[in-house]
Amino acid sequence: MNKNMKILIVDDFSTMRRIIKNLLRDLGFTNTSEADDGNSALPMLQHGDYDFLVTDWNMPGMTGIDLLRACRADDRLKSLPVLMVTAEAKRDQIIAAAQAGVNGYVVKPFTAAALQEKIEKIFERIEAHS
Amino acid sequence: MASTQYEEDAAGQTCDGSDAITEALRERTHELLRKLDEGDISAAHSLIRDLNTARDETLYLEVGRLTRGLHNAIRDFHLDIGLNGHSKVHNEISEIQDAASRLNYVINLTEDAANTTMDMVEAGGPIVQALAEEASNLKEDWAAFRGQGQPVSGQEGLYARVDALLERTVHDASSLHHRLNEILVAQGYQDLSGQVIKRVIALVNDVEQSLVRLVKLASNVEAVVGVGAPRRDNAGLAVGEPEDDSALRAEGPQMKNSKNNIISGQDDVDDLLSSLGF
Repeated sequence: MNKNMKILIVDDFSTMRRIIKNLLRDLGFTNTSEADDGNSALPMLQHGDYDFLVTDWNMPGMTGIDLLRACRADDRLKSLPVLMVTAEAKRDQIIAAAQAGVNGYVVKPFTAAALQEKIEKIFERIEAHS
Repeated sequence: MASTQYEEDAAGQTCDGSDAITEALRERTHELLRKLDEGDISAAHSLIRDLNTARDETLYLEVGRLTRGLHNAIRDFHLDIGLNGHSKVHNEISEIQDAASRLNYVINLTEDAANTTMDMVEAGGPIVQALAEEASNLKEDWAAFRGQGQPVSGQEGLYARVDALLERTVHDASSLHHRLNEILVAQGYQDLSGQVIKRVIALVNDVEQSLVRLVKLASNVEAVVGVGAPRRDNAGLAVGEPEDDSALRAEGPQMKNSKNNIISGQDDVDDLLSSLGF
């Protein structure tokens, strides 16, 4: 796993962005940027050469699921690894996220270990397929 | 909150009932006086009957609106009351009850976060203190060794203590690091409780608007009957936008057992995803 990869963290609560940023830094990932909803995240993703997207679901403006769908519909972003970190926990929502092409799903409140495990799993799977 | 055609009607037509009755009164009073002057008592009686009928019809209309308004408010907030007054069990719990349980969830969440943070601080404090004490003792011995070439605890003793301290530092730093991370993650309560409180604020606003609409409807009934406070102009009452009620609408943190179809934790999410081939 490339520790220098460029990661975008999207959440409307700055506290949560800070928590995720710190946990990622702790795992060795320091190249992170932040956005507070899908509308501000999408242009960053389209022009920013990001390697990994960590996004919340429930945000004003563009939600995480819409951001995910927008990424999958964009040729440049259709294979961008996406981890959803969200309080949304209905079966239908998780299935919808899976169908939209999410790479991992972490429910809040989460532990540092859960976040690490999901990230490692995502990149193991990507490396195995490449 | 679903806005209905009825609510829009109510907002647009609140004045009609009592205005119509006033208009009818005004028109027929002149006619009544004229008939009385002419000595046409039978026609005068008929006019009085007409007036009564118009008043009754307006009253029924306004009472009908008020009743529908009450039904609407009850339905919108999923209050656990049947429309005929008997208790009716809904699939969904009432939004007011839901709000109460959400606020309880916030209390539990903030309490857990505060306790986790304090537990970690309480556990970390003695570790830091012990390290500082050991380092401070060793420092004296080290100073003696540097000054006179002979530590208080003997050369072998000094080496053993340095070894032990280094090992302990590595171990304790990692344990402190783990505790700092726990404290960091515990701050997630701010996001989760913020989402819940935003929803409850929206609900309180909806309830307020519904109550104001009901008061307006009730004041129409009062105006028709001719009792109660004078009518006031109720300007600026916004009617809620119809909301997209899809199953995928974001709902914020889920209370355990509050509704069906809720996944109970990360393990269940993983199971569901692996059943989908993830």
